[in-house]
Amino acid sequence: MTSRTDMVQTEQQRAAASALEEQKQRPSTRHIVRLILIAVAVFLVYAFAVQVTQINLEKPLDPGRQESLVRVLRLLADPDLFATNPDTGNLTLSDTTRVTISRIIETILMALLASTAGTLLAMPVSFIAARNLMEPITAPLASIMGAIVAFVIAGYVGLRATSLLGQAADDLAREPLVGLGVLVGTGLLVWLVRRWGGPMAMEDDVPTRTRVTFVVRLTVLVVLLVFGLAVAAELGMAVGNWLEGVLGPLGFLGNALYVVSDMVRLLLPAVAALITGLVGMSFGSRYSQEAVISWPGGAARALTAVLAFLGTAIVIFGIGSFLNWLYQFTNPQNWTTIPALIGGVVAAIIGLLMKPSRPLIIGFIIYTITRGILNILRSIEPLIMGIVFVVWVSLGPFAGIMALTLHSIAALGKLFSEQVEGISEGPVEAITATGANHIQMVVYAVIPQIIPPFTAFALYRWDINVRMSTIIGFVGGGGIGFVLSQNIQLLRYRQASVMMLAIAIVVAALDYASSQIRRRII
Amino acid sequence: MNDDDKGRSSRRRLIIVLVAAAALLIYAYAIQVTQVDLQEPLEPQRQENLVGLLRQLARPDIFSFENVTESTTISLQMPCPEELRGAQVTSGTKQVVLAPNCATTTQDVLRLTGEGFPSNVRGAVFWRPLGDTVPRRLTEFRANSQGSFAVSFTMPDIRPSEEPQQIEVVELLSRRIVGFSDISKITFSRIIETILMALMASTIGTILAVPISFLAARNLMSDVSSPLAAIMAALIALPVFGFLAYLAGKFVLQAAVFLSDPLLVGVVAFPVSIALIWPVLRLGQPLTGTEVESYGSRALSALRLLAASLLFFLGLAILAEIGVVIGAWLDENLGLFAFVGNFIYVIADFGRVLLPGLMGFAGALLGASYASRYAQEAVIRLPEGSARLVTAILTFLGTSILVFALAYALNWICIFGLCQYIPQETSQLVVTLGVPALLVGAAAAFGSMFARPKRPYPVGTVTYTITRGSLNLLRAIEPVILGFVLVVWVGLGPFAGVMALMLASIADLGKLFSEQVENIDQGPIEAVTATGANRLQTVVFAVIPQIVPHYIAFTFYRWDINVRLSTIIGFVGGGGIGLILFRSANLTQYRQASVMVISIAIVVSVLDYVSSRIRKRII
Repeated sequence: MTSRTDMVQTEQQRAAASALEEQKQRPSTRHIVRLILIAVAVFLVYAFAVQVTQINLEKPLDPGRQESLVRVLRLLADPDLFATNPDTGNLTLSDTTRVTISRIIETILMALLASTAGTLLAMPVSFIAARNLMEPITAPLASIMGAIVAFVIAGYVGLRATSLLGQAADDLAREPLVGLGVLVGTGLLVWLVRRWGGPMAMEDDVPTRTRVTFVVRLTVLVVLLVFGLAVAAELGMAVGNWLEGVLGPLGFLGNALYVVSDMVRLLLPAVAALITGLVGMSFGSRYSQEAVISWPGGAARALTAVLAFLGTAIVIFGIGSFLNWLYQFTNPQNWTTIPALIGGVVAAIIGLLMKPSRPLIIGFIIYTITRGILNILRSIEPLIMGIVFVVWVSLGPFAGIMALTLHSIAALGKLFSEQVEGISEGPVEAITATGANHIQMVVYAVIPQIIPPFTAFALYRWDINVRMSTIIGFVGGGGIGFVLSQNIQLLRYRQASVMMLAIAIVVAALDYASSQIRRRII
Repeated sequence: MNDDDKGRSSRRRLIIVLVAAAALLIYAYAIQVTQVDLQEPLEPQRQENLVGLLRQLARPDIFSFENVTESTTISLQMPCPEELRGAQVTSGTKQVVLAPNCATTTQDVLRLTGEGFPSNVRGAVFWRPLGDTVPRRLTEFRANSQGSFAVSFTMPDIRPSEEPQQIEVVELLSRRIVGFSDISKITFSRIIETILMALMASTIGTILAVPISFLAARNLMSDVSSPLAAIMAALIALPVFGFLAYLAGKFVLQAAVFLSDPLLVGVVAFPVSIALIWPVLRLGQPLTGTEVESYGSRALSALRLLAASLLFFLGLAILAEIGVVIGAWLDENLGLFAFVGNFIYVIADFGRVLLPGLMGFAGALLGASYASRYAQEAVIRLPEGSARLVTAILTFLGTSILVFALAYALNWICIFGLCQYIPQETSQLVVTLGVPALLVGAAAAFGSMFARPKRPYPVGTVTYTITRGSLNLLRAIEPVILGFVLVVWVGLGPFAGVMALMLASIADLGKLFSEQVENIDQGPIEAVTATGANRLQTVVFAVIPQIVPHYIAFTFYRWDINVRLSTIIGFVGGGGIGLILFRSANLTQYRQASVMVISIAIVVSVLDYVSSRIRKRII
């Protein structure tokens, strides 16, 4: 009995299945029409592509062109590797080979510097461009605006203070010996400040007095460190200059010291301003958030409105000033002060109307903006960026390095942030559960997970940079591409052949090496 | 134990110190070589250049404007009279003063002041040189809020004349957009060209990379091995059958030209030749039969196959001939859709020109496969002694042919200029290259006498290594560099770019595809092999279904790269937007360059987004 009902059921199922099958088998006319339309569209696209790209056999089969191709191939097959010394008759490396060797080393080193700088700069960017890290970040309006206001004020103070310190360092270190003394003195002072008073770590519930002394000591320490760095940079320049003359073949060490010190000296104010700005920003955002949450509604609203007015006005004024710098408007105030005031008032009204403690998705906005900028930068080839940098720093490998670095930052920023997005959530939750703040979470849960893929991607980027640096010279960016394009334009194919050969060997060898290392890492 | 640990840790510390020192040296040297230094970028003049460039880039020349202007003319003397004077013109509220109103040399500074102009108005000063119709721009001015301005300038050129010449003061009252600028239109057409270049290169590159990727897949190739005799027989058959098939192709082509002379004959001959294939294949015994057959029937079926394929190629050739005629006709008469006619023409032309080569290639492969199979069978079936003899003879011939062919190719390309030392007259050349080839062949044959004739050689691994090596070398050279050489061949224009990108795509995709083949699941392969399928069937039924999604994803990835590269391949003359971008950058027309860079940024990031979406859906 039961078996019969089963059979009936199976029968019914079978019938239903076969009906379904039939439906599947018989494609609807709409489907067919769609397929035909797609096929026609593809046909038209390819037909148009053949027309536009001028693909035809007339040119490649033209006897004259074939002859010139054969001539070029024969010249390329005969690379100008060796030359006979006219005096002794010995076979030696030709001038082209010598130039090629020095240029290919330059090319590799360009890629090295660009990859290193790009990787270092891409790392902080990648955290800002990682969705999983940024999306949970929300803050009330007052906190965001407080951060903006504090960033500008603290950054400006940092910039001024560092410039003053740099000036003082410059005056003091004019005599290297005095500078050395000052440096040692600064070091001693740092040590003293560190030892004086309690430990440098701060607990949460300490009396205000301890807090104040802590902040004072920290400030003094930072000032001393910046001053010491400035003096050291001045000294480094002097020593580097001296070493370059004295060291002979190792003179490049002195030059490197000089250049690095010069960079420290010039970038110190900007970096210090950025850091003080960021620190100020974090304090500003924290205290305004606390204030908005703990204050009564009316006061919180008023604070939000004031901060919103200031913050918005500053942002709009900044953007307007940049646009005015770029476009040099007829009436600058139409682009700077007036919109800043209007925007500030509007923002203040919004701040008054909004619930003061309502969180805004600021993290997601920053993420979107960062990703967008990275995508746009990535889509412009380094060769095109090279044109701009050549105008700025003139012909030579430095322009190439800057172009490659910028593109590396954009490309690695995206790859790195995708890695950050792909991390396992377990450690993150574990660390967060211990009560760690956002930065501690990144340091202890995120970074250990991403180092191997970051290294692999940095190596991958180094591969790409080696390839790119072989051609960045076409726009004047230094490296072997510069001489290669010159040789080709002068129709010196035998010389060009040596360079192509060198490129093929070096790129293939580095490719192999980096793929082996990458395999070992992952 | 403890000592050992200590020793290890100190050795480790030493290694770290050495690595750090090496890194320091390398970076220090790198800074020296690459001329990194901040003096240049911070130099005021250079910063000014950069700011000028950025300001121009910030004003892309996207739209064309109609200017509403008003002009005031004032007279100028060339050369200066004895007594220096100024000129003053008043029109309406405006008053323009030029002092001095004359110039003798190009160093003389002239000062122009204006009053009563609209406040903050911009304008320019032009000079209409005597005899020229085009005014020359001298300088620009901008009035202050009171409507007055003052500019100084020098004359670029001196054209002495009796009567006074005219200086025009043109003020720009307003401008409105009337459409896209010329450069926008050019950019639009070029960016489409760029995308289509990438499309063609990706498509052709993918199609050609697929067969190569099988040759470069280690897991497919490593177990391909055959005895020496089979390899050598294949080497002999390759040129012989290839040449015969090539001749047949030439003949078929001539026949096709003859058969399609009036177009109508061709239209009839094409279906007839295709239709004839059917009776040839059906006549007599079925072609796929049991293994045990008499030699006569085997020969007969081989002949029938040959006839059928000749007929097939004849049909193809006739089709190509018809296509060329029809395509050319459509190209002239379709108007807007003429590109369809051009497409048909180009495809048919390709078919026509490549047919003999294609037939030669197919014939060579087929001949080699038959020869290697029969040689293998013979060596396995024959007794030891005669097998050795057969191997030796085949080795002699095969090695000689290989060496001769290699030597001939190297001589043709004139490697290292060696061909200068070799007589290039045909008969002498054959002797010079042939005698060593025969000697090498004899030596190889002598050597082969000592090897066991049935011993398999890993010919697959050798093929794999050679293919991978060539792909790696080709991959190492950027398409922009390849473009240089191809421009010499096919001339400036997008075709050269397409070819360069195609070569790079083949090399890149060949490697990526073959890695996919290497990573496939072995299960289906074993299952299909267990049914007694041969190698080709294994690939078709077990390998291909596994790799199609990955292949499509990689094709899209490569298409991304090709779009990026096609924006710069024009720098070496390879067409696309790079060509005009490079030109305008060289002419310092940065406002035009800006339009192109913006269009590149938009197009590349949009296509990037689309392709990443598609890739995500596929895998």
